[in-house]
Amino acid sequence: MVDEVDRASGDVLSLLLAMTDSDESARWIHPHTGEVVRPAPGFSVVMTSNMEHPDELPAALRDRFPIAVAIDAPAPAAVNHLRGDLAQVAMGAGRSPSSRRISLRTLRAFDDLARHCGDVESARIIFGDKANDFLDALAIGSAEMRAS
Amino acid sequence: MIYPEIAGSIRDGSLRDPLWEIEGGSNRRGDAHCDFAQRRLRVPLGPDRRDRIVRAHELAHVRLSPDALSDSRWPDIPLRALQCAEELRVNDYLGRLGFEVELLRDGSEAASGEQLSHSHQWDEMVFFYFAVHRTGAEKDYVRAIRRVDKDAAASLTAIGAELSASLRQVPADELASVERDELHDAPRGYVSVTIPLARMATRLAGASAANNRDDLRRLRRSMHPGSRRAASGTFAPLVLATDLTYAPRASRTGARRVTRNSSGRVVRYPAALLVDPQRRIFGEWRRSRGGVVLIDQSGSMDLPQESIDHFLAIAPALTIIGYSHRPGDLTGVPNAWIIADARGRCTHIPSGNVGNGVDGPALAFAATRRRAGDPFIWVSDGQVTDSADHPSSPMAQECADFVRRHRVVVRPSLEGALLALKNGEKSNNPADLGRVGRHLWHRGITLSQAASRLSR
Repeated sequence: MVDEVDRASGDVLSLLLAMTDSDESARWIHPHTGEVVRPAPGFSVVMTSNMEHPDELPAALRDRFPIAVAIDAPAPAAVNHLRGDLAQVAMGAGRSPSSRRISLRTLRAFDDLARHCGDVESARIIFGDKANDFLDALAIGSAEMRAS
Repeated sequence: MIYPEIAGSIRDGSLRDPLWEIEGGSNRRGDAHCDFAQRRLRVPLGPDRRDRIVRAHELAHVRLSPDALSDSRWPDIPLRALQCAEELRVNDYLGRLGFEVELLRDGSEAASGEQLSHSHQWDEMVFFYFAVHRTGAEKDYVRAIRRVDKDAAASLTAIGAELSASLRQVPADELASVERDELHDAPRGYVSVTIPLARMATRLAGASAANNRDDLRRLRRSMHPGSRRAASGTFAPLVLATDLTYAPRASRTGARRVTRNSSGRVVRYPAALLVDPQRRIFGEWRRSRGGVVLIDQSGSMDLPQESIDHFLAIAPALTIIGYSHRPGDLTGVPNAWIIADARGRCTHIPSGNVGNGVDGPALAFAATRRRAGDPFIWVSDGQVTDSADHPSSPMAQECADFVRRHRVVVRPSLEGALLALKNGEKSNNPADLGRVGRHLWHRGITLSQAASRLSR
């Protein structure tokens, strides 16, 4: 599992190219001991990235991963800790364009803070001049829930 | 900043396509909008309070409104009524959430009211009233209308009171429900709130402004579920069906009519000896292929399809026109159709739309199809109604005047029409002709004729 591959340096990417090319080229030499580590049978590689699109990866590396899965909603377990209306909007918020995306982490921070100082103050602290817009969207987005 | 993806995050249990394109606009009425097809949101992006409420209004559309307001699911409701009813639902809900909906007014409402009342566009007055109700702008709007048309203003005020009362009865969760209505494939809130409001707007738009207390009471009552729609006082515009197909008719003998002749066996016009230079005193039966039969196919006539088929089979090769208007319809449902003419007879005769609604325009249209001297039969029970299917004395008078002026023979049944055609009858018996008959009676005879009838 290669987590957040977009953050890998050039050396690591070069190594990954070799590791993911073929069974023969997939080996790693320990720099101090010189030990050669080879993958076991059935070896496979999974990469994760926070990039908007897989094509932003180097073409050679992208070519080694024939399957790409876009995960555009948070895992339900991850939003379970949020209060009801925030959990609901969190499901859609992650799919927004990057310019107006609100991360799950931000929503959690808002949720935590709101327990102490209320929604308005919490939004002001976390979202600054966008606080009203966030609160409006939150109120309208969870309209049915609030009504019932 | 605006967050449509948050506002519209989860609807009917599933994620909607959230990728909205935001376009900066102004807070003037009509400038901001929400285009579901293109996923484009045009809103003012400024920091002031008016910009904020306009953004919230569009966000509420993203959240609550269906992707397409109008389609074949609600053919009886015009798009304008749906748009305005949806505006009302959205504004009402924003008001309940505590948004400053009164900031939505931009001052243009008064000018719109004045303009509409000058042009007597009652239907648009009603629709626009629905669109601005609950924003406070309705007060400016009605005030401007009152300066020109007091009746319309009083009617709109009464409508507003009823509207507020009926909205108060709608629970907030129903108003804002985005759960899918399986039957109509649309958000439940739209189906259960917007559609009835749009129907109400359509009915009111099809009526006319009340000009007395009784009419005002009737107008208010017409807004209650299941109640009768208010009178409009006008005929609906004639909408001729254009999608009918015609099959050739077997050649039929024509209608018979009597013409004057200088030779013959029966002296029918002895006065012609004195007044006609050609002395055409004899009457001669002639076959005629011309003539027009106008059939009122409203519910009160109770004409089964078979009886019209039968009439077509044995009637001479006349031009036969049917008409019936769907009460209160503003969507342009055809309310008149040519059942038979030189092209042949239509393969499927449209059934009536319950109401009369277009008696006057249908008579005028039928008259254009009549050749001089040919018979013109109107199959009608003499009931004349407005576009909302309310009987109307002035409109019955209008039809009676038309009947007299154009020498239309009115018969209450198809059998009577057939006999009139066969025998060349030209007179009417007002007693058989309902309201039209009463007007014919009062206007069609002189005082001395009335006195002689009474003495008989």
